[in-house]
Amino acid sequence: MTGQVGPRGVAILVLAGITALLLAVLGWTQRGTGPTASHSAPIGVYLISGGPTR
Amino acid sequence: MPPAVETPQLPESRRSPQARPRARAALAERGAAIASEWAPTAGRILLGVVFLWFGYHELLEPGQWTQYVPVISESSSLAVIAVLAHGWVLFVLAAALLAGITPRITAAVASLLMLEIVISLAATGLSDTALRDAGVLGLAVCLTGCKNQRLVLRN
Repeated sequence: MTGQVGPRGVAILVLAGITALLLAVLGWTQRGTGPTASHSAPIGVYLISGGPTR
Repeated sequence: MPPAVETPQLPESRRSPQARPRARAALAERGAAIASEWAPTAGRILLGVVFLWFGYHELLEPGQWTQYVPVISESSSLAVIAVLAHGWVLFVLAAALLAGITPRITAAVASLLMLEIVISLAATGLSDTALRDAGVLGLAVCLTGCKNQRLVLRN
């Protein structure tokens, strides 16, 4: 696996993993502070309220 | 001896009535070759951008995504941890897609992740969103089969 990815690939993945971990820590400390979107709201409402659209 | 009269060279498209369609066909062929060469790369990078965007938002604002976690209560800490783990995977996959690290394996993992998302969305009844994500799943599946890609990180 490492042979296929290569040293530069491993470096990029490790960097991305650490960045994501730091963002996760930030997200964990700030959890519950943002606005919440209703589960049944249509996609347009999600977009206007700035909530998730997935 | 009379001087030789030089006939001006006409462009190929004006030489004969058949030449213009031939030039057009050659142009279309060239366009198709460029598309087949670069379309998988464009698809991979755009899929990477989508993953990066959603991964970033899941990591920074997990509270807004807990409603999509199946089975677990959205107000629980476990749901937040599940979203953060999901966001982490999305973020790392995005980096792999954008950098072109083993693109086919990455696309296969992305396909599995999208399949999980589509199934969980379909289970909660958000059919419009589930169908949209089914399209993204289609792109990921398509990329799994693309052998020749440009802008790939090699050893």
